[in-house]
Amino acid sequence: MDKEKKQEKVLMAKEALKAMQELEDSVRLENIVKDNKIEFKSGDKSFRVRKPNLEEQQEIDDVRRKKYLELVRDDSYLFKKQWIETYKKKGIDIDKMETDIKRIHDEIRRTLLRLAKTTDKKGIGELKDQIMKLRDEQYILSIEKTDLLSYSIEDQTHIHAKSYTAYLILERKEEDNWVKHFKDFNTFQKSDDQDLIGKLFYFYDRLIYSEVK
Amino acid sequence: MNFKLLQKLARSNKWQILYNRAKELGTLRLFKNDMDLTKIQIWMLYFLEMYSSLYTDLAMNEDFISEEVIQDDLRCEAYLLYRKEKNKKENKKKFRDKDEKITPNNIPGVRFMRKN
Repeated sequence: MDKEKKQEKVLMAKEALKAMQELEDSVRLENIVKDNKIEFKSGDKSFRVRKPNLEEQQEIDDVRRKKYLELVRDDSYLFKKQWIETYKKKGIDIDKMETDIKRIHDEIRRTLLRLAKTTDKKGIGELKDQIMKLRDEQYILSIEKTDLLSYSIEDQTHIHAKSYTAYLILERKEEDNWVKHFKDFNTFQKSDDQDLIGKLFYFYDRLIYSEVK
Repeated sequence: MNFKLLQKLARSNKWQILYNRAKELGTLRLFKNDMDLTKIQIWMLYFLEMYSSLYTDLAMNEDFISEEVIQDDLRCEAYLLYRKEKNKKENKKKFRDKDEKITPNNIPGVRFMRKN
């Protein structure tokens, strides 16, 4: 009996801890949503990321254009279309991957429509499982395709512009002022502060829409 | 980006009241900034409107919507897709009916096509 009570208590404590964690996460998320600047801590220092201003945006566009030109001139870099052709010769069919992704997408759609009209618990559970399995399948294929094309001129240009943006928008709190953290892009690229860089890109993804074609 | 928590926040009483009052009054601000919204703020607005419309459907006793569905992200997605398809079908039917009404005595309507 005592053992049962103990187990019950442990379970209740776990539940309470989970609820507290969720509450904390909600508060943290509300703080991120309330403003177009996101503050965070790394080590004992306070940092923030903010949206680039118009001048910085022009600077980013400039950097993107220069990188694009540099890669286009370099024969060791290929466009996505060229990579797709190269892979085809080696027996990897990216077009087929895309068709498969589309097929899974359509299947998910059909299953979702069935789920919408289903009311019995067992049926709902089964359809939800089916959708999750299909989503996993779709995700794996998408990742595989993205990885294969990650060295393309388009993706490399995007990664470079994203890194440059991240470097521009990161600020550190100095007393009551916000100052740029890295003195130049080179220092940013050489930084080995994994915690800071990880957090920077995590919050970057919550701040800025990335448009890559 | 993981939307689970953002969706939970958007369907919460607090944010639904704030959002609906902000829509009615037009002066209430949801965020500190009025413009230059971040990606997460845009998604938050999307989810706020989505759940607001779902609660409206629930109040109107629409088919296949319940509190249980609203609390379940995947079932919400399913319901929204179903509603979209249903509206598409109804709109098509409405346009067909309208076409039939403006062509009296079963004289076929004339459609002007743009020349390529």
